[in-house]
Amino acid sequence: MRKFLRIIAVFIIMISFCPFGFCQEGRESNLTQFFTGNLHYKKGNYSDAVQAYEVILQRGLESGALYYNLANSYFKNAQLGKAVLNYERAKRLMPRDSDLQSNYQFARSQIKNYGLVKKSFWSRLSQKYAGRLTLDEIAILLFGFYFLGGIVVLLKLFTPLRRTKAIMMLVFLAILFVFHTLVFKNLTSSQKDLAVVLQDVQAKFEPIQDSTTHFELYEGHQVTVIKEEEDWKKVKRMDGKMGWARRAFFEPI
Amino acid sequence: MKLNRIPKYLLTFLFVVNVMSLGALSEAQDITFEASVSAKQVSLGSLLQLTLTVEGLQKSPPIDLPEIDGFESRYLGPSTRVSIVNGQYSSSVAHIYNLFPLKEGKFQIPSITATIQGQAFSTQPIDVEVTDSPVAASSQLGESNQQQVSLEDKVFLVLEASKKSVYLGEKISVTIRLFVTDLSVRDIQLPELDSIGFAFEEYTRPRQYTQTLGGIRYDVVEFNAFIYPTRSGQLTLGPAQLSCSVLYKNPSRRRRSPFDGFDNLFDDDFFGGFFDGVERRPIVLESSNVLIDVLPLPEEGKPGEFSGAVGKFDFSAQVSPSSVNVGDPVTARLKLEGEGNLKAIKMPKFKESKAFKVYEPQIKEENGQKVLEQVLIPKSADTTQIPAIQFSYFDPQSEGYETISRGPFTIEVTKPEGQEDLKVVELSRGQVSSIPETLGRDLIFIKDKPGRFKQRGSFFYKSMTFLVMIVLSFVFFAAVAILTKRKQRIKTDVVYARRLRAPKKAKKGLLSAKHFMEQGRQKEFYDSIFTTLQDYFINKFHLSAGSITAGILDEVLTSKGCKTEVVIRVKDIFNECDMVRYASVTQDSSKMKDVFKKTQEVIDALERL
Repeated sequence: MRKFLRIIAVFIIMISFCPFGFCQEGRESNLTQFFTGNLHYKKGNYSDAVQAYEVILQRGLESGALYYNLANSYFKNAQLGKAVLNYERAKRLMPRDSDLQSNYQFARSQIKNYGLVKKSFWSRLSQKYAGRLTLDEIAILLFGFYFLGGIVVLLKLFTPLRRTKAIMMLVFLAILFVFHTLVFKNLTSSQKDLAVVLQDVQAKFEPIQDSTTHFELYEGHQVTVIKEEEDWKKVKRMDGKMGWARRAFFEPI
Repeated sequence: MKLNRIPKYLLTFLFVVNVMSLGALSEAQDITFEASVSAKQVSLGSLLQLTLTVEGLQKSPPIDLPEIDGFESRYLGPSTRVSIVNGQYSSSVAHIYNLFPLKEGKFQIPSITATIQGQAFSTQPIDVEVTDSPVAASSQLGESNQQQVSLEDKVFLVLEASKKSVYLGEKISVTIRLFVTDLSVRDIQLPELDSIGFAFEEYTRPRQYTQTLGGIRYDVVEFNAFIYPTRSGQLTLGPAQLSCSVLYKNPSRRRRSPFDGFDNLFDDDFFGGFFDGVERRPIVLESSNVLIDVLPLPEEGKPGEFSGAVGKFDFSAQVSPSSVNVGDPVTARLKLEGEGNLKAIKMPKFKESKAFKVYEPQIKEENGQKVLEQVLIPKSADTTQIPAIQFSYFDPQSEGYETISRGPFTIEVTKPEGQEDLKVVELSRGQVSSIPETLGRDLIFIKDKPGRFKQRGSFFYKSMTFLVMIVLSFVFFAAVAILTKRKQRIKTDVVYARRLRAPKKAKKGLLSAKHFMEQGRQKEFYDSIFTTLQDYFINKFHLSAGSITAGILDEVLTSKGCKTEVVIRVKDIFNECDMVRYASVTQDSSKMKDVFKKTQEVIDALERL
């Protein structure tokens, strides 16, 4: 018993409860920047709005609404690629926002040659479900299942809970847990290397200036970055085709 | 019992075999080969049945018919007949063929030869007369035609084009007509038209009517379509081909049956038509072809934006809304309608300019109209108009080029001031549109609150708090589980329970010993020390009260891995206790303290074992 108490005490001491992400200093100026950006937008000065919002981003901070407003500003400023990019970023932070979904679809409909993506059944399913949750929410869900599992075990010890029922509940929780883990892994791995095309560019076979063009990429398309070499990036288009283009044409989500 | 039956079966079998072989051997029937027809006169549109009979055989392969002038033949199959009459065994095979008359006239079915069982046989030729159908014959009263009427006169296909000399891309109306008289035709398929060098627009609904030509009444099925020549020069349209089935009337049945005499009763046309009275014969009709001269479009006067449209057109354009803010979409709607190959025509569209950002237009084609809708976004408030847009086409009637220009369209572009009303325009469900939502739709307005800012790249699941949550809960569960286990064990395992309680009791004992020591009560002190230590050993090592001897202690302690010096100390304590208790030796307080301390240390040491 003593041993346990000692361990717990050590842990509590070790822990420095840092509430994740709160940057207390400079909070005032962040809000000001945000509202400044909004004012510029309302007046129609979209490039000024973009600048104001970008200041916050440069400070290393982000929020769903910030990306949304930024994307709107880019769109009005006829920079489709940047607009789509920032909508994607906003989606990762507030996936269920209906305004965002609507504008995102609108922006996407403007992309040239945006064809259907070949995806396996599993990845489509998990994208649909996972698309409604942020990574953090999934992590919390996982914790929740794990915790519930523990509760079930306790119940088994202290209440006349039947063994079969307990096992059934545990199995159910385990399935949910595994499913969400897979979804989580899928998201983290797929989200890592996604980027958006900022300008129409030709993807070439080799990372050489005059190499033959393999295919075209249009502003607003989504690609996966496979490799980086000096000034070039090797990207994979949604239909699987791979090619090289200068890194300046892409920005990771 | 079975054994009795075998001879019976054997007998029956042998008997049958004998009869068969006798029948075959004793009277080797003569083989004969004959031809016969169901009627000597047949009309166009009726069938004639030809039967080739081989007598004396049960099986005979089908016999190939030679070409019979005026007829087409089809083999139906064999029919076998075996009879045993008055001990006489006879068999015959009849091969049945359907003959379809093609033209009117007198014909002869020639002598047909066949090799049967090594011998050559041939039939007598048969004369057959084919007449024109009785119905048509009556309508031709007054004109004694000596011409031969053939099947082709009764059903034929005609191909017509509305114009034989056109310009490249000009619309031509094509009509294909199927004429039928005096016959029944079924399963009419859509005609196939050889139209290389033309663009073909699908058939409209076929029409059916009757028409009288040259005194003969025909049933007509008419197919209409439009074609547009895609090459210049002399082009051949057609021929057109149409597949259908002609119904041939079967002549009255001539079955060799004992009921032949009753045939007449049933020889009613009405009945004949329903039962096996008709046979469907598929045929393919072909029309003649049509030569079309296609003129190329003249080069002089051809406008720059001309993209190949030929015909007569109406072009209109609309722009809305006419007053917008910078960055808001304006929709241009261009409508083209008229005579011409709308599918192939390229619609004019607006190009990107300094004043406007344009998006790819959406094109819809329906009901003889082609509509193009394009979104333009004014980039600045200085823009005052959308430029004019032209559509050029070639009119084959006037033989010249025409250009229709619409616009320019004035628009008012303002920079938005102050609070903007929310312009959320989602497509209402009632809007029937195959166009995705780029029309009449605007970006939803920005958010006025930033929400909570977080560090870029930081995630909750990577934070300390999350980790702590997991660890704490794990610890919690583990602790609870272990505690309950312990409780259970205590309930069930006495030895364990006692061992657990030993130190606690020892502590209590030491406490009371301490009191005695402070009060100077020597005897009670040493008693207490003794009992405490003894009970401690009993509980911890599960010994019985009486067995605490030095020797046993030694054993137990060393077996538990206790250091020798501790063992010695234990012995010392006991000795001292004994001395006071039994020998009434007095000790001073320092000694008592000493003993007390030793006991404590001993117990601690043993607890740590």
